[in-house]
Amino acid sequence: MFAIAKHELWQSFKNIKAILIIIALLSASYFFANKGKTFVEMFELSSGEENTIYSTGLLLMMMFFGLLFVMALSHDIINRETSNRTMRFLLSRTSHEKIFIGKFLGVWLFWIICFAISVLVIAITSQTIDFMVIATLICLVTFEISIAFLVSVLIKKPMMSMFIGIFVGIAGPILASIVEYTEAWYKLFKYVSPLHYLQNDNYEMLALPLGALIIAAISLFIFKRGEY
Amino acid sequence: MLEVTGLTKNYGQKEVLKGIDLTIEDGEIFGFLGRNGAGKSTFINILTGLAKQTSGTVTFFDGEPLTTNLKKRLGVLPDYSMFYGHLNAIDHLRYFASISGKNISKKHAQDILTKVGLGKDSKLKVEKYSFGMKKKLGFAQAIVHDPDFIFLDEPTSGVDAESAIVLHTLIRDLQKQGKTIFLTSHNLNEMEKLCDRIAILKDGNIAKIGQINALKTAETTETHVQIKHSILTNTVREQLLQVIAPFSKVLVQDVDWLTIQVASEQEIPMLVRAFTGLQIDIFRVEVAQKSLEEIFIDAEK
Repeated sequence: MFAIAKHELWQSFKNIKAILIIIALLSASYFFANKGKTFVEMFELSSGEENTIYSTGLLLMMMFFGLLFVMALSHDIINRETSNRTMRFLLSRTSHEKIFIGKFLGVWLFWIICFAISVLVIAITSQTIDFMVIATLICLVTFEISIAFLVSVLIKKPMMSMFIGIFVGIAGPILASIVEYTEAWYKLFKYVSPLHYLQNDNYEMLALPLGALIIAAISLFIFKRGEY
Repeated sequence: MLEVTGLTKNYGQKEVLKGIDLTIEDGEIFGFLGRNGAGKSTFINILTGLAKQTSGTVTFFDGEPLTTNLKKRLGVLPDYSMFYGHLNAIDHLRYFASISGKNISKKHAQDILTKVGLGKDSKLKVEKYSFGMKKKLGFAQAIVHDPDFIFLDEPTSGVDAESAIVLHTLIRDLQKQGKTIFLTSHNLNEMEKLCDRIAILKDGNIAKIGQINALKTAETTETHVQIKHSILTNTVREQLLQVIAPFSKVLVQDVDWLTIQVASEQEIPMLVRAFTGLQIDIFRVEVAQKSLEEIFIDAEK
């Protein structure tokens, strides 16, 4: 399991898309950390809000583009191996569970490292660290990774999962915003949207890793039913 | 030891395997034959955990079912080998070995690749490998973690003749180390050279099983004898044919060869005495049994 996680983590950093995403995250982090004081004066923010502003860039990036980023990198995390038939080498050596968890762990660690570098940039630039934002980011990305895994086990062909992943990555945050602020009948869908649990800076965000666990369990069940 | 009991596999309404019972002893090289679509790869996939049986049991060694721990003692060369194109062969072996719980050095990986004939290409990215080279890499990954039971699905298909000989030698060496090998191939010569026992799969059942020589003897209802002799005059030839006519039938006559059919091996000394009685020199006597190819074709009928 850890061998698979390590391999997945290492391969993630060798991807050009990952490098572009890291640059985007670092740029947003640096911009908001650098301009934070200007925003504080411009918007007359309270001291609590002041601390948060420096990390806002990173948080906004992940809230609106995070699913797209995760999908871009991980839409084919499972189906790439099954369509290439490399999954046979893995399954002949270990279990479905260890492969799934190993890959999940590898991808998750990639994002944790990306956030750690971004937070370091923010801390150096603004001399502040907002642990609540860090916790929010971890919860959010865990949920987004589970969605990517679900797409990857449901859709057999990597090309198709790429299109579906991009669609979900773009449409997801838009639909989440709509259902969150509407009064129409479909406002019920806000409870399946991660945005709903990030509205307040409290422990409601823990619903996201719980949701991720449920989605990952469903994905694992589908993965185990296949023959490779 | 591998023990398979009542193994069935259905895909929807289609029965692919219809109740296979099989025992493979430790240290055997066991061959599995069958035409395309007979179910050989499905059978291997079930044994190695890549597919699930509809019913029946599979146990290894001392009655152990297939678990993640037990998989570490198995090596598998699938019928169609694809790899991670951006990695080289050494990286592949180290990655696969680590999944099997063994961390190996680059040198160890290089040694294994040299054994299978990829020593010079070990640092090349696998996307540049030919089909035969990928097959050899597949073989290497099947043995990298020193498994006790090795499944080889068509190990030499697409491989050049010289490399096939290297792999055959490697298979025999693995057997000498006490490994058990389950082998499928369409190359009947290869099966004859390597296997202690074979099974022929037909329509989801095992049609024939046993040692190759025993199968040949059991399947052979008459004996063909080829005798290379000195050149005969017409008179001596006619005398010879008269002497052997009561207990044999001449199938083919050549200048210095005769192919003769007799009822059994019991008549062979009589043939030899007929030749020597007429002072005809004999240079070679060959007894032809049914070939594995003929046994396979008969099983398919």
